[in-house]
Amino acid sequence: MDKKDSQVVDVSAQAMNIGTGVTGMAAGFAVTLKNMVRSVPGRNTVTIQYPEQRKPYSRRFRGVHALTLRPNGQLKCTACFLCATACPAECITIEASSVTDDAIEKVASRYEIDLSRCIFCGFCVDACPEEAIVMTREYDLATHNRVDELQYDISALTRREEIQAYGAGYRPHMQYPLVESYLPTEISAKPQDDID
Amino acid sequence: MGSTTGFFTPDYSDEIATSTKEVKSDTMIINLGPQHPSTHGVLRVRLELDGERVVDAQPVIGYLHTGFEKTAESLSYQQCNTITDRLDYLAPMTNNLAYVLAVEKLMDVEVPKRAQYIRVLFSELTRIASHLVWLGTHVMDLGAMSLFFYTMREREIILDMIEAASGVRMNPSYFRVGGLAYDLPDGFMEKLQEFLKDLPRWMKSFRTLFEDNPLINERLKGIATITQEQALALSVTGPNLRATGLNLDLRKAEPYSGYEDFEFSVPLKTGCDAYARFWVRVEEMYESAAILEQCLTKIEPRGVYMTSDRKVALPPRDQIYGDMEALIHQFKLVTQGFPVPEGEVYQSVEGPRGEMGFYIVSDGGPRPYRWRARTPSFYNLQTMPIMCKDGLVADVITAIGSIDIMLGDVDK
Ligand code: SF4
Ligand code: SF4
Repeated sequence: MDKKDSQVVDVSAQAMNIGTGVTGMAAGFAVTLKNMVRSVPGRNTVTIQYPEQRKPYSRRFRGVHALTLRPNGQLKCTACFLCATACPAECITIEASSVTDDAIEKVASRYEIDLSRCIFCGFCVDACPEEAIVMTREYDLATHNRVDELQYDISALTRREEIQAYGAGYRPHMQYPLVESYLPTEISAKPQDDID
Repeated sequence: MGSTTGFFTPDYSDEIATSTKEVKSDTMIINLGPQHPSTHGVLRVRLELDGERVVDAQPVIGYLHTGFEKTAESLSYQQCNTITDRLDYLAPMTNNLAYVLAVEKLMDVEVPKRAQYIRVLFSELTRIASHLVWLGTHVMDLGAMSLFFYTMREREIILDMIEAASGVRMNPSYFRVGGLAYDLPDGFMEKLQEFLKDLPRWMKSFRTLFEDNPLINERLKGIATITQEQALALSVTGPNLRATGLNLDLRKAEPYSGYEDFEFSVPLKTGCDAYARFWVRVEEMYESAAILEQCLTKIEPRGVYMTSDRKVALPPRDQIYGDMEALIHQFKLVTQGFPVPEGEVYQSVEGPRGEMGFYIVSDGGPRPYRWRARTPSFYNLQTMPIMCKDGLVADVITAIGSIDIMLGDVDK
């Protein structure tokens, strides 16, 4: 155990070292002080007061899904199951039913996304040939009950006003400006922001 | 004593055995972690102590085991992409890159030059982001609080850029087989330019905090040494290896994704200790910034970002709505995935923590037969017993921080 003895810390030697390093440390304190002054509330702060203030997210943000509607209010989804197949987390459940419509033969009578499993990869949006499922910028998903409240069914996925307030998120193969404001007023002013 | 509990029984068992024999009677076993803020996740280190002196330090891992490799076998090649994000979640882009390069190698897919450069761009951005987290947390482990806030502040800008391009901050899945998921967003290059203009300024202020600070230097110099031979014997890679003086950077040694077109140098140190590893990483951030500068001129803001090979790439949207053939491709790709020719492949890239590689065995189907991730932190963590032996307890914290482990990466 020679090594043990040789490694005994010489406290006085270290104290000397610290003495010579005072300038270096003073420079460090100056940086801290500068940052402190810089971040006086209201000036240049990076911390935001969530949930009153929110960070703006880009138009590609992959948040909670939304189902889009036809002009007559029907779901655009034709229950082709492509989204459910593409989903790596296997969290989409669809049940199809037939309709007596010339153009469309099938609609989804049940469409559920288990958001407690969803990893927000956006593969379902990529897969859909109809743009029947898109994503929004909604992200605050905390609930008291993960069994029911995170199972989003058709009515939850088509809450128009709420979804509109969060703003449209990721849609397939589209170019978006880098960062847009989060504010709902600004979003509704732009037609391309509509979910439908 | 103790060497069997760890996941790794080191070759240095002789040394450990001798030292434990002598002090057997009065050693104490202490668990560091798994719930300890300085272990950077859920790492448990089984420490055998003789007073303040460490006799043995065995990492016990698996608390974050998720079974990614097995999961991947039941997913199609596109879907596996989402798993790679979650391995090393501070550098998801380099994981993506290693994986898509492996599949592309096996399939012989041609990737457009512009997409390759954008991949370089994001790899280097994540390298800076990852090193910033390391710098903040490592220095915080050593007792300096404020740097953590500043590094997080700057990292936020990188995450914003990643979010703007890929849609999410942490698990982007941005690189897909054949190219990229989406093109760069409007104004991205301006934002990058702004970031690069700011970088020297904040790096300088960070350096002021630790450069001449005797407290930091004393805690790093000569601590947690790994010699070059030991590092090579344990497959240590990345900055940890380059801090032992060995110039091995896969970006230079086996250029991939167009790295050969970029000019940069590989920071090397010979100190073998925590101090050397510290400065290798800090200097790497400047080199990454240099690569990003070159990206500004090399990448046009608009252009092709995905191969036109319909065997792997989803057809463009406007075609899906109007073209029957495109719609069939869409259905086929989504429902069946693309078949990958039979064979096996290994492809590795230089991640922020070292060699990130994927070994994929294909049986010709749309799902991997075997999907193996060679994650750098797993190998780097094996150095714990060597680094900590005969050191002080406080230096165990330095050792953990200085090899920059990522538990998602270790436990898989
Ligand atoms: S975002 Fe991904 S995980 Fe979530 S439902 Fe869509 S495909 Fe599934
Ligand atoms: S892919 Fe689109 S159309 Fe098909 S089931 Fe899913 S949401 Fe409906």
